Amino acid sequence: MQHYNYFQYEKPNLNFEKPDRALTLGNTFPLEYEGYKNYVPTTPNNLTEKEALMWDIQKYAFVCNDLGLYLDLHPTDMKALKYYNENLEKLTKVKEEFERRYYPLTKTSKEIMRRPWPWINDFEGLK
Amino acid sequence: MFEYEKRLAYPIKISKPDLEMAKVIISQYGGPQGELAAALRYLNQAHTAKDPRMKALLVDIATEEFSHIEMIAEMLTQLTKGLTIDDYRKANMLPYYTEHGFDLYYESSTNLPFRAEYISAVGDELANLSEDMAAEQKARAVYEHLIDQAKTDEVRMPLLFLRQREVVHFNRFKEMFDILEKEKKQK
Ligand SMILES: [Fe+2]
Repeated sequence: MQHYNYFQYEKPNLNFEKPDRALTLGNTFPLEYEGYKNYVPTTPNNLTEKEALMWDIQKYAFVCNDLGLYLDLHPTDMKALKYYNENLEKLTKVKEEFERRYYPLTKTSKEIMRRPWPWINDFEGLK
Repeated sequence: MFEYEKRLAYPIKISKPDLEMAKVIISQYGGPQGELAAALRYLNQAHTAKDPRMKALLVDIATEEFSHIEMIAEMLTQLTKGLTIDDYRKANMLPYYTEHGFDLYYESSTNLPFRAEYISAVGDELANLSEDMAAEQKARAVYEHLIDQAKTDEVRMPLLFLRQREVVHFNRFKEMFDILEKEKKQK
């Protein structure tokens, strides 16, 4: 096992976008955002109840993924770890709610056991 | 391993088919700067990456790129939904219809099928990372060309999202490159 001095790469005063805005922009660290021309990314409105819950899954999962990339290189950044954990906790909750109300998202979801083979229905990901 | 999750990374909701747009967006599916090339490039490099941070980063970005292939595929599907042979004729796409019917295929906007030459691995971490950084920049440029052509926000928003992801991926690869270079000098 190799040892690295991670601390030399840590960034002080790291800030994070809120999950809604992070997914809208495709970006979690405000300093990294680079707009294109005058286009302003907008958060989708008039979502159905199901789509809104899916958006919540998407936004928390997005933040976890983006912070995950950063943490791969800065695994001891406590501020990033804390935000990661906060979002992971919320992600777990909204996923459970979605699966209970609509369909299991993965084949190893607990919901799979509660219904007769639900995997072939509701292929929401690919409408 | 991979486990499929039945959802998209970012919502795609395109209400109006547009074959002209699909014809160019296909490049980010199977073209030289496309998402398939990105996913395969990083996943392949990850296996032999010696630095554990680099291995983790490559696997994670590769996985994200697979979700981008899916987003592009979903955009193409919705952009061509309900179209007929006649629509393909008007868009000069009968040769495509002949080969693939209404299925998707990994090819560029100039109809070149996907090729392994789009990706490389040369047995050197700094060289591989340079390739990865260049790939992200080129993908960003192609997304900008697509955003320039988009006629509606339904198409523009997912493209803007994907473009920013290329920016972020470039930054992570660059950061990894700088870290390795610095540590090499310290030795
Ligand atoms: Fe990328």
